[in-house]
Amino acid sequence: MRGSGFFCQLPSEDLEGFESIKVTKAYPKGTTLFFEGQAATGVYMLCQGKVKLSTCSQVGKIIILEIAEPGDILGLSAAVNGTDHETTAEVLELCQVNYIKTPDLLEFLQSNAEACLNAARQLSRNYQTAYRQICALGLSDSVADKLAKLFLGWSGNGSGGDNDVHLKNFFTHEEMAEMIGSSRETVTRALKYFREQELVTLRGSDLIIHDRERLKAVIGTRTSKRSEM
Amino acid sequence: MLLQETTGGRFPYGTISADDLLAGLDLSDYQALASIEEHIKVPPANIVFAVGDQPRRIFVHRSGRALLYWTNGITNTKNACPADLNHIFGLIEALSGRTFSASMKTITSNEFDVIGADDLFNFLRDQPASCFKLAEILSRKCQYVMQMIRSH
Repeated sequence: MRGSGFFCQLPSEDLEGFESIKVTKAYPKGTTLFFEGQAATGVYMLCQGKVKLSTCSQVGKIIILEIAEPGDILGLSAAVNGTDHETTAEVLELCQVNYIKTPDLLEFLQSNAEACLNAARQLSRNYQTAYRQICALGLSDSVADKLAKLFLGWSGNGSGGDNDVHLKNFFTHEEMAEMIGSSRETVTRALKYFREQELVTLRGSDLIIHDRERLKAVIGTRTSKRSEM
Repeated sequence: MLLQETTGGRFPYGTISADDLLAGLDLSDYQALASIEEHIKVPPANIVFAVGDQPRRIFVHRSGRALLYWTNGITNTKNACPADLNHIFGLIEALSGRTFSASMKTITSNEFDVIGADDLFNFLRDQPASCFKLAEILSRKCQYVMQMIRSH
């Protein structure tokens, strides 16, 4: 059955060529598909599940770039450039992937313009996502602001009334800290502040944004404790 | 309105050089490309495209001075930088399915080659070498951005 990923919509005759070069594999939660700095011997086309993509800054801070979802191709830019992987890919949920060796992928792309155009689409999205991360890391020095923006970004997938949003959260304080380039302790303090201000409550895996507009209004206003948060 | 240049005065989301992408095309391919292009002149102080516009048309900036304007979504600061000549605007947005993230306004009279996004993609489908070059250019851009993130 064809999925909704870029490669899944190729014409039938091109799909036959694709089928001959891919190997379908399943990986349990916690598996590392590839490490940052490892030679890119192939790409992983995610068919099911979720994969965390992260990188390590010069000072050793783990930065989570995005959570890859079905349809995404992992390791594509490194494979096309013939360089090492720029990220570490860790399986968050049991996933099924189509693995293609780099030489086979390059030969397929060079002879199949439609597939190559799909690869360009994926790379464009990766590029823009990474640039947004730069803005988030470099230009917003308040952890509370970054965390508020993270929650507001998630709030589009939640349920609730006009202004309050109920979400399921699967990330630890540590992982949220990695997403925004901060520390677990600072995120915990920021969450305590949000709870005291009745902006956001995190109870187990239930994340409640009590008032989206008030949460938006908070961004950029916390200057007195900027060194702490 | 406070304007400030980004570090290095570069548009943060990047553009693609037309020369890099289209170098190596033979005469018949250039003629095919010319048949789907429209050459336009835009007077000074005109908006070429605006933030939020769907990238239905791709613009190759051929002459004149124009500025790109955008607002940083984190700090709400206004930014601007010159639009590079012979660079392609709207291609990355069209590929990724997103809208324009900046506005372009002419300072002097400008000339552009304008191509419909769908027409350009149909052209590229007949040009596997150019398609692959596009993927290579975007891969290098991705790696450059990753280096910036790691240096944070």
